[in-house]
Amino acid sequence: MVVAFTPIVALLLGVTEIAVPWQTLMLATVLYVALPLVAGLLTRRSLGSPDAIERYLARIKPLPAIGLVITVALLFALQGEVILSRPGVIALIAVPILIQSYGIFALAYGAAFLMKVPHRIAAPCAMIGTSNFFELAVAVAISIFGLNSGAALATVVGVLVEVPVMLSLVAFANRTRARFPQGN
Amino acid sequence: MNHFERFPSLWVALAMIAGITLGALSPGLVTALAGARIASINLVVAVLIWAMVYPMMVGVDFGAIKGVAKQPKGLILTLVVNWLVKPFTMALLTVLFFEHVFAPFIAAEDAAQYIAGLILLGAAPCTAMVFV
Repeated sequence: MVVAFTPIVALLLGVTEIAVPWQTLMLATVLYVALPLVAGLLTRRSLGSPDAIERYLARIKPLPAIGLVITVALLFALQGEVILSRPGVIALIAVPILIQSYGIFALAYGAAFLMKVPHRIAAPCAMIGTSNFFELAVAVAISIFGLNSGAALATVVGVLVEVPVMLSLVAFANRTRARFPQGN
Repeated sequence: MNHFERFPSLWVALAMIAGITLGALSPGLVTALAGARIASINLVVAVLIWAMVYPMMVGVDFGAIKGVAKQPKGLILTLVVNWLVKPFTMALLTVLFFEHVFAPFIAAEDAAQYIAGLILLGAAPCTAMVFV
């Protein structure tokens, strides 16, 4: 992940002629993926038993929601002017995200169906393929382009679109369960 | 936080409204928060991102990942979609829309920003993929 994310982003952004500070990109990946991963692993190890981990997880559970809400509020506080003057921009940004999400899901789910993958594997695989690590996208966009950038705004629209899209896909996957092989 | 889990989109929408209101009422405070940075890393943002990512990482059960590896078809499919397909289709779609379809509605420099943001979004794989 740390290995693949950075070069792919650098390559794709390079094609679009957007200047990317390579070091900032690396730094953001390490700071927001590698370090939390190591910290999480160390936390699990120091807690020891699965029970202790469960209790700890229950206690820190509200954190991501609070973090997300404050981040979004902060972004929109900075972007308020743009949004109020051109609210249609949000809708425009949502269009390619929607096409992408449903297209990728159709591709992954369809391929799993053709490969005769059991449903309990196929459904989560297609979901994982569709879903984005939007926290990372938001973090990197802010690090490289700044809180008041259009890039940061675009990643937040991704957050807004993701939730209803995923809910609709879960419903669809549940309805089509019977068409898949059921074995292990 | 039960309410959040049931209506996440609603909460995000409320956060947007609250943010716009705050930005309009007290632009100075917001600019100060946005300006607190060390070596291009914004401190406030760093704390917020850690609040989002760290609990997820604690929740990762490395034992369960071995179970996934026993289903090679699913794993390969997910890997291919995540790394070989998704980032590139997102980039393609974004450029198609923002450089061509939406070109009459959006200024070129804004479009470049949105393209960059969406490419980042497409290249950021689902959290479950962090380990591969």
